[in-house]
Amino acid sequence: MPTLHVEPRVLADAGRSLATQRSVLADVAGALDPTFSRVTAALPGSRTAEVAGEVGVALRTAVRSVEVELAVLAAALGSAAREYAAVEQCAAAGLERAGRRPV
Amino acid sequence: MSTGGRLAERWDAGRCDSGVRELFALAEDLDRAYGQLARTEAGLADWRGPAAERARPRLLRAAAQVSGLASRLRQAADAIRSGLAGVAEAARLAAVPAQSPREAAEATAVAEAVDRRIAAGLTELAVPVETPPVAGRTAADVARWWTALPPHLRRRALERWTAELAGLAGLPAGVRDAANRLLLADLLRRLRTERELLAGRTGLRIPRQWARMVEVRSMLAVAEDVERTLADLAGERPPPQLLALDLTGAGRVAIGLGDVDRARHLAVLVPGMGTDAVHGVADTVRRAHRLAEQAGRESVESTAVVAWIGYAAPGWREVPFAARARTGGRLLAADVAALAAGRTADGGDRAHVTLVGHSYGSTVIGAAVRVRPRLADDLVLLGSPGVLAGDVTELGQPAGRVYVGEAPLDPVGDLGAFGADPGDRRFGAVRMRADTGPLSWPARLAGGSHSGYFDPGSEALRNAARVVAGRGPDVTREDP
Repeated sequence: MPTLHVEPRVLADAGRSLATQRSVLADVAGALDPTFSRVTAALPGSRTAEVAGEVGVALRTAVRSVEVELAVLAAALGSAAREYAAVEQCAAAGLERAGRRPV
Repeated sequence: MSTGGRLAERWDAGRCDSGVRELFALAEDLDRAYGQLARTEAGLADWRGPAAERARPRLLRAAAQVSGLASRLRQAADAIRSGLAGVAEAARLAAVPAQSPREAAEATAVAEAVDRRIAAGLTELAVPVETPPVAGRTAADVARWWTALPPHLRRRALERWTAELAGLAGLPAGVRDAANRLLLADLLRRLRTERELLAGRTGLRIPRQWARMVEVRSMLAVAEDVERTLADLAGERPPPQLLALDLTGAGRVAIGLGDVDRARHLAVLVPGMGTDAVHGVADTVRRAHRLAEQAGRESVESTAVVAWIGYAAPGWREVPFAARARTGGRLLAADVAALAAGRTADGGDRAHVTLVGHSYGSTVIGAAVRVRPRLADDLVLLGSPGVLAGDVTELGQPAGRVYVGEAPLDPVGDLGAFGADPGDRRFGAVRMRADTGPLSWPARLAGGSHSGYFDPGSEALRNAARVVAGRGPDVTREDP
């Protein structure tokens, strides 16, 4: 049996922190397009505008992809924290019940 | 892509610049997100079990991806920023009416060249190596390297290359500070150990051992002085920044007060005779602190002041000669250029820069601007014995950007020992009033008002601070 050490509260905190960072990444991804557009609009007809547009799209896609990964991890940690906590409560209740039975 | 006609006619450098700033700000958001993810991962260090083994690598990978994205975004911003001056020039040329065909072709060529350069920079976004640039690279090269370095490699570089980064011109002040503080702690530990070892040896009869003991004590004295000074200022917000630390020879120390990377106004205070690091840094830092405080009263815009104890200041024997000013001037020119380059590394703006020289420190400034003209926007020379110039034009500053303050009863200010007397009307500088307040007789006998330019409440300090805060035209002037 593998070694197990879990602190549900720590996992829950980590899940919340990941959710916050996911939201930061969502904001960044949302801001990339208008920001690169400002650059491309400032340099009409240039090769720079074309390349900047492509770079902006590539960066936005990459940021979105990490954002999705963080969302998955945040959800997984949050749900693991809840499940571990439930297991602990269940085990504690079982022990309490066992303690009340006559020996 | 348009290659003919006026390619840059509708280019807008200002709009482009605002986009670049926003890109740098987004990169900073990603930096912070990376930092939080790294902390989150570290907080899970005690988590054990199969789930932990699956989750942790994914979290690490995600953090590294965010770090890499910050790097790519910052590089993209830097590539565009590096061409902004060219964009502005191309737009200006394209807007000139009635060009001849040759002029029009030249304007198009300028636009195409800058366009090619920026586009090439944008297509070459790659994570650089974490090894700091080798000797011989310019401060601008170093700034570009740091700009491109992702936050996870920045952190690792700081741990692995502390001594190298501590002295690397072109890094942001915040990074220099982090590296120099690590270096200071390490030096204190090693020097204290060595001092104990040497003290434990009986006699120290071997001259080399004795010489080393003297050297260790001297270096330790400077390091402890710096440690004390930083501790005294620890309550300041922002905290002081240790920008340079070299304990060899006369020692070199630079301490920044305020946000050196972001402040709108940046001043560098250059002290005079007998003020090198071996003789103590606290006094120069105290004067810099007063100057920063007063500048804060003179303007709502942010100001940072660097106490630059960065050259082998002369003692009585050396002070009649300009040799130390010339050597110090070269060091000052390099350090000020490095501060300017470091500000750009994380997307900061160019600051309004003032060099403030007291006594022989003003001679050092005179030497520095000979090495690198237009090193600063304004020069303030207080109690100056001369700046190695016959008149103000030799300093290469725009008209009205050299300010001289000479207190009544300052015997040094009238010496004119190194070129003409800057306080003389014929020199051509702005002669600002520099009263240092009433003097006691003992003070008069001990050198008059030469040491009073930074006294709180003095007109000298007020006027110097006005120049530092970008309010040079508001200084009170001597009667013509």
